[in-house]
Amino acid sequence: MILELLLYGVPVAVIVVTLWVGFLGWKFYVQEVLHDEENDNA
Amino acid sequence: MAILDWILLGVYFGLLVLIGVQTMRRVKSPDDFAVAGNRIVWPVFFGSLAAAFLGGGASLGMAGAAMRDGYVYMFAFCAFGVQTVLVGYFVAPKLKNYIGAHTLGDVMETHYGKPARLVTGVLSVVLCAGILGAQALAIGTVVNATLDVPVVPSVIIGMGVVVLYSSFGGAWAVIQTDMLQFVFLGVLLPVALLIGLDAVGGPSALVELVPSDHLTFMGDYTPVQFLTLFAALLLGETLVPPYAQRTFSTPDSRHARKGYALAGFFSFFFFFTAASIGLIAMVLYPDIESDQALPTVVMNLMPVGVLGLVVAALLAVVMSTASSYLNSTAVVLTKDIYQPLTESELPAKKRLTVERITSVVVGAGATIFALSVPSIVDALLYSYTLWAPTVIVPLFGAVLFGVRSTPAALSAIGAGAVVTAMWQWVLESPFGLDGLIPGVIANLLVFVVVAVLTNTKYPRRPHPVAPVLQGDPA
Repeated sequence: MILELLLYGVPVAVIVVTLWVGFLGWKFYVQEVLHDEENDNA
Repeated sequence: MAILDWILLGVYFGLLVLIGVQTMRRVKSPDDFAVAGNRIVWPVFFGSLAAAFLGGGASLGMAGAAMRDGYVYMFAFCAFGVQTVLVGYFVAPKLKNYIGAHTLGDVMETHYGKPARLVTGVLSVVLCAGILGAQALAIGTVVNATLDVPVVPSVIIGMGVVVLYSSFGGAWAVIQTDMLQFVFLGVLLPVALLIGLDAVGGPSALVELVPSDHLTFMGDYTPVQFLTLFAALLLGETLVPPYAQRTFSTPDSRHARKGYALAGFFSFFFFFTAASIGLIAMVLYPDIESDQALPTVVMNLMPVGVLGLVVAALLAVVMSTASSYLNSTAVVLTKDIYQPLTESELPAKKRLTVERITSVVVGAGATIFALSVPSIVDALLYSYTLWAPTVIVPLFGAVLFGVRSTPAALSAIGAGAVVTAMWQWVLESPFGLDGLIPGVIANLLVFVVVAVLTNTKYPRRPHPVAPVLQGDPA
């Protein structure tokens, strides 16, 4: 039963954490790389 | 693969090049090239570090070994996660005390002088070049297994893209592409598991169809076999140059601790996912070679569209590791080997140019050697066994306890290397024990004894703590 829960729960947890970290990483990319580039052009 | 899959795979490669171009403008100094100007906040550090260490071994290798041996291999592999959590809590924050450090050679020189930097630099370069060559070959293996494209053009295109973004965008490009690759593999490998579970008939069916010893903690391993593997995985890849470089790229010790330790916790979940895919392969395709477990599940079960993305995720696994090691090789070669051997300090602009040129040359060299003389890559990979028994104990002694005895560091490095080489390659691993373990023991003993004996001449003194930067730079 525990193994069955893990087999669904773990991949879902990995996806959720990855998407959350990916979202924070995207915010960072926009601020540090894209905005910095705009500032350089300005 | 359908046209849609090819388009999605093309989009993945396009995004890597786009990130390389966009981050290129961010690289104005060696600080930017080596440690992204120390601007990398913990979520990005977490994703980038995870992408770097979740390589072929943790995905393709894990699925294959789980198919062959069961979850026992995953439990042994968790040693790597344990080590990552421990280094994250205790060592990574202290590395941020070394202001301006780009490499482990910087830390070693602070405590043990120039010879220690040089030795660390040589060991780092050999290790990184070996792993880079292996990743170049792995690109060919993945593409050949999934797309049936010949190895040579696959390696040239894959490594060409890696060299392009690593050389121009430096650490900025490597870390940002790592994030993209982290999202690909962190989403699509679990998706592959969920689709595989459905194909098997659900978790209950999987548990029933897999031999019971594949689900137990020890499987059919003997305690010695398990402990040897556990110890080798616990120590083997500790704080290798790309992980150290990532740690230096954070703004302060808080970000270093959080990102490093969380990546370690995340790895346990990822290992379980990859190992479970191996069990699915065992049930659905019992006749395949175990190292084909993950590619076979992907190629046979993924629907149109998802297939192209999962192939991209498998490539991401290899390419993120390759770019990390390429960037580290270029930085270490320049800072720890080339610069100490030149008479005067290189101006920042010239050092950046040297690092970029080195990156192109090393990347091209790794590709050529991997394709034409793969035995050189095998030889360089022997150095993987030498990393932990040489550098790690003196490094931890310096960072954690402020040891400054040059004789202790150099004699420990020599003793660790000799004992490991003798045990592994001359005696051919007696009792099935990896040479790394007696090597680390010899390294530790010599280091402690010589450090105690020379303590009067070289008193211990922790490195001054750096002022912690306030606020979140993001």
